[in-house]
Amino acid sequence: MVRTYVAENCVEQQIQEIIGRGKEEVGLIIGCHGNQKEQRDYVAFLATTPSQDDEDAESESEEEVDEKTKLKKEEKQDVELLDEKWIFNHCIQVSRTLPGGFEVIGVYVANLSESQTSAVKNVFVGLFKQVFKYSTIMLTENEKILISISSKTKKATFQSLDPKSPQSNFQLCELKYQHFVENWHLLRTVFRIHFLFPVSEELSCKSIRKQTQQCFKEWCKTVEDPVVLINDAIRADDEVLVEVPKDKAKQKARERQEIRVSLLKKLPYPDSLTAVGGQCRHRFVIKGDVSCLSYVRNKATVHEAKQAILGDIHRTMWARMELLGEEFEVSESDQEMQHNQSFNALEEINELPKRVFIQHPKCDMLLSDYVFSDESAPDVQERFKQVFGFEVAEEQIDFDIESFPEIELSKNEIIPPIVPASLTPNEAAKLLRNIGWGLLGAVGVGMASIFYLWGYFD
Amino acid sequence: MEAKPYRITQIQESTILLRLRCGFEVLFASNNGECRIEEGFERFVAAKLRHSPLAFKLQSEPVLFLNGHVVVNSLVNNTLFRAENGKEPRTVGDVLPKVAKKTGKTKSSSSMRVFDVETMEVQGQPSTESVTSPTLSSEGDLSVATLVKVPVDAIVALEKTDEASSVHAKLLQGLMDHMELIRFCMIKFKQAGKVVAVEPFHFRPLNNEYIVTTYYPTGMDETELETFRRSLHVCLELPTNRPLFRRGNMYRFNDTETRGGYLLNVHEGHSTVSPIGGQLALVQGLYSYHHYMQDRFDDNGWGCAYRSLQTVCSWFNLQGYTSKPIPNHRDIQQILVDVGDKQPKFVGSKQWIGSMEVSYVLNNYLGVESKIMFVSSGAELKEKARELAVHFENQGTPIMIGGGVLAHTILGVDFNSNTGDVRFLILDPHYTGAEDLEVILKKGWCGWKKTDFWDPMAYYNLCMPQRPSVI
Repeated sequence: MVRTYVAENCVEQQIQEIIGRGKEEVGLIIGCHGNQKEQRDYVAFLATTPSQDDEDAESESEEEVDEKTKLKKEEKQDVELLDEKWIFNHCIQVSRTLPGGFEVIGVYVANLSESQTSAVKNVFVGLFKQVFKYSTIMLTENEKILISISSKTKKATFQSLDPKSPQSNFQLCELKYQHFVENWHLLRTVFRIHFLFPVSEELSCKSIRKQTQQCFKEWCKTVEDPVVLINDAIRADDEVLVEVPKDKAKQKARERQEIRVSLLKKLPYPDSLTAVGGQCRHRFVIKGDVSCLSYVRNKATVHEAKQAILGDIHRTMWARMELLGEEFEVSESDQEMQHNQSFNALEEINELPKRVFIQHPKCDMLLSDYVFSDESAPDVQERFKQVFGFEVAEEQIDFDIESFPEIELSKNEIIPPIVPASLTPNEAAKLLRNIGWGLLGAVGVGMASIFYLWGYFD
Repeated sequence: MEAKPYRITQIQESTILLRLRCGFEVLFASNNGECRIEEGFERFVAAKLRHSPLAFKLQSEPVLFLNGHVVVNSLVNNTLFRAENGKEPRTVGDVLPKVAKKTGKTKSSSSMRVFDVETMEVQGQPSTESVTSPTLSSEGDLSVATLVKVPVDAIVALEKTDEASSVHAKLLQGLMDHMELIRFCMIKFKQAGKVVAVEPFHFRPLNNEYIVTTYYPTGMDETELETFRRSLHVCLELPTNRPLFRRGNMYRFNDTETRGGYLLNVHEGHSTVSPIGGQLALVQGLYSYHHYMQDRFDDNGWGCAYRSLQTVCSWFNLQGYTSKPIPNHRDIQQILVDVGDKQPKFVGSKQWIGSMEVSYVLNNYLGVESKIMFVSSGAELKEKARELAVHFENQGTPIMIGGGVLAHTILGVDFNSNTGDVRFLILDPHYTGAEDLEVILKKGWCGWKKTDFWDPMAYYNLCMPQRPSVI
């Protein structure tokens, strides 16, 4: 059966813009996989993967370019455009911003050269294989889409392929343009976390980032298959989420509703009473609330809604833990290089970044970003420009959904940093925040140390 | 306030019991071999019971007790249905499902209703006043961390007229009470500084109008717990010559008619009215019915005494005197060889045994003494009626009787001291059918027999097991 895709009108707009630009491009497709039975997926919008040379572009000078190096550069660009690792990294960045119910469902390519076109399938399969292996919290293992856009023919073709069976070929799909996001229901919940994780002796020898990753894995196990209350009512899994009485006009039936969700975790009588334990060096305690949001299609069942909101809960904690882990990693490695000794970046109390919601300018949905206590609107705007390529006005960012806890700053010793003269604190911090990029590109090691004192200087 | 190591729940016919069975995971740290139990509990209670909201749901019913209100939903024809008059339910009686009256014969259990309740942690709520984003703290020093699964089995007694909105608070209080009990038990029975696993038990001693709840450390031998049990007997002013608080004595809430696939107390299907105007003296407590062909073992024609012995063993097991399993034919034969009564080739044979052998096995396997009664003729049994009645009143154990070529179990006597009329309640091990209560009762495999049941030409030996005086 031919797969159908329902795409938002803004997707059509974006495709036209890409055709207009006429450049070689690669990017991600954000949408939602429909249920297995219907063989239908939904495309919400596209996100262009920024080019790798953007950062190096400034440092090049015109005189260095001559025919030979130009050709070489083009070849390099060829390969660089379809750089799996680079796109993978973009995928992580994008996935962190998406609300529950939405995920990266494919890749688009535009104006590829011949050599690139033949490499597409491998890159496509390789990329998603990497992602599935990395984390199924980012996205689900389904057939993914490939949109091929050509400015010459002014056309876009939609195909799909299951990355887990690479020996099969891309299948052509049908496409329909239609508004849908604005009608989808919105699920909201505030999820409370109080998790104790003893760090075994064995684990405490590994990096703090690895410890936090293991901690996150264990925490995930405590959030599985809860009982769900929809608008304070107990509902069965197979019921339709929002019942619409038949006498109301069809129009009204497709309006978005905000649904209040409660999640209850069963505490069953234990099957076995064997205690589990071991030596541990210290304990992690994660305490706090996370604000969660997800979207589901109108005819979704209670089960689908449950999966969507659970997906968002996992994803928001994953994003926060990863961001904190990255901070630790950078500061640890930096201190080691500076002072040639191991350094424990872990303080008594470490804030996870809080979630802020951003209204997508074209699509009626809320994206999210995570900010540490020393960040503000400009940082969010900068990040969104890089990850999505669009501008976000300050009014569209909601900073007050969550608040940081009131804690005293830890009295740990701060090692005085070395500030490189060439950078202003702003630039340094910015580069630091874009750690994802920073890890792949070249980041001056000295800049990382500024982070610790950022809270003190303003 | 001195900590009581048990809780009492008063019950009456009109009582509605909510039974909370749930489990928690509690983290304990220990330094230098000493487990910090108090600390572990305090942190747990603060995190999970005081600050984290809990909800309670009736098992398999869409009734949820949350802090402050009750949610009763069922989708009937696609419309939400809340109680009967469309308002939030007021009393417990409004909320709980009506239980259909059980038709057919009813056992003599109380008409107390028991509802199982699931405990749930409210992890996600639609909104709260403030959403404080999480922090990750690192704490602690080098120690041993043990994650212990703590089972809770709490019962809360309610009346139909209680306010439905008060149920949540009562259930939560019940949970907190039990955390106290568990904490007490863990501290008391700490072994070499390590924390022990504990399990909840409910008891209804002497079928009184209350239930006693306490916790025992898992796997600890009954003999080691004797002092603790004695203190319970004394506190509750209960006789100290019979076990009432052993694990085997635990109260079973659901009226089970079988245990391990065997039928329990089949005699209760008979009327307790004497057709001869006599007084009934019956076996006390519980036993399971053992007979030919059970356990897919064909002992037809030779195993009747073995089966009767199994019924007697089941009585001691069900009254908590022993936790040893009911021995099979081979086990019984092996015991007789071990005590020197039989030659080794006896094991695996189809040889009969009599009341003497039964008494040897009871002695060796269960530590139970027996009185042996001899009657030279079946007709004499009529004269022994009074003695048998006294046995059932004082000991209440089933009697194994062997004579002629048959063995049976006597479960009671019906004796009219004026007329001298006697009936005997007999459990027949010669039954070869399935565990079909109706057949067993109708066809008299368990039934009242007249004195002509016994063969006047045969002599009989009775093995009358004596209750050990233990707690």
